[in-house]
Amino acid sequence: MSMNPRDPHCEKVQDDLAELALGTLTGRERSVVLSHVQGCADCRDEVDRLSAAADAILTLAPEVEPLAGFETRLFERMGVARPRRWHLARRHGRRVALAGSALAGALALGLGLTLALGGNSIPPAVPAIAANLTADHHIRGEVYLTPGKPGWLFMVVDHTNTNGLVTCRIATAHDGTITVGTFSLVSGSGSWAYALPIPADQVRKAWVVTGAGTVLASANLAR
Amino acid sequence: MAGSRGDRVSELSDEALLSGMAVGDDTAAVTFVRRYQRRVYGLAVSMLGDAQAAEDVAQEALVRAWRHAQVFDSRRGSAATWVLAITRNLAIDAMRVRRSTPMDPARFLALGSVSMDESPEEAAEALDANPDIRAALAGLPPEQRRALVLAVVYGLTAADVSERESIPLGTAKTRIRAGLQKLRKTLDVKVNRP
Repeated sequence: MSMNPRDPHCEKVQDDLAELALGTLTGRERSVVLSHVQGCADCRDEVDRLSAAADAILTLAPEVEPLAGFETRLFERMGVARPRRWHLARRHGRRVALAGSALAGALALGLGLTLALGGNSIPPAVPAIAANLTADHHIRGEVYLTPGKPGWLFMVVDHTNTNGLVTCRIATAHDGTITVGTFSLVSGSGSWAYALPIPADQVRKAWVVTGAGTVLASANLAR
Repeated sequence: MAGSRGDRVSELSDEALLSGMAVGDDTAAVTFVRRYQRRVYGLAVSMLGDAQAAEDVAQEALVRAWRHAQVFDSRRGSAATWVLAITRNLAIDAMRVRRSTPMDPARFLALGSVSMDESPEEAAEALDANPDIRAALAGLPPEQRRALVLAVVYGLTAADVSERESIPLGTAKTRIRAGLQKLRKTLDVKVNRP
């Protein structure tokens, strides 16, 4: 048991920690346990571990083929074009942000416990950044940065005349340059994602560079 | 070539796909849906036992994953458990609205090849996918296994389990807690606090 055995409050609530983790505790019992857990790091950790163990059971569910037309109906609801060809979702230099309520709603869905424990773990509504990759004033693709630990860089390159290996480099807020990956373009196109070695908000610029050292396109990611 | 982009995107990790979804990339969304729709629908139909209700839940779960991809936090668990937890919560809500009776926990376990009647050794031998989790569940005493599945998969409270299994409330609470704690220890679940 990881809870403090000398703390009578921990002893009192331990029977209910599992139900709190499962989201099945209700009424007064729930408020009593919650008020203890909010102030007890050991019990909070225990609830998180129990919650993770419960989630693991869900992965035992079998794979079942949905009803015919499931995908079509779903993509219509999402407003996503089911691609016969893989089109790009153009986002011309926009910034994407989720409102706090959306964050809270999502956490309530997948991580209900986080909210229940007082909301200290709710991440800030840091916007993702999207910018065009351009060369000679022509758009050659997009770069997206999403915050987190790690943050991610998602890159799409299109409409180039280059094939073969290219390199992605980024410039940091501290005037450094980092090579984050080397990958292939096929028929002038490609897309990749990387876990960033630095926080996303420290990335200022991204380049795609050919094997011969020529800058194919660049994106300005400064906020 | 346009098609080759899809091929490459389909090889991306779940985290990368969610990152793409968070910034509105349709290709990432399509790939994520195709990767998870059978598991999401499989969990929903296992819980609800009704194809149309399961479709409603599965669709809503995937739409919410799409809308809220930006808040996915890989330190708290995998994309699979995240989207399946969304599905579970929606299915439980649907069950409560429909006031439907949860299926027998044996059916969920049988679908996953962990039998209620097998000994831990027999059950463990039958394991294939998710061997660690299956083995951990198979290693629980059958009465704890039933109580745990009723609570985790079907969202029953300890009082519900008590009534359904005709056991005292305290016994139901103990079975759920002990089962979950054993599972947690067997799986050696760690907490990565942000």
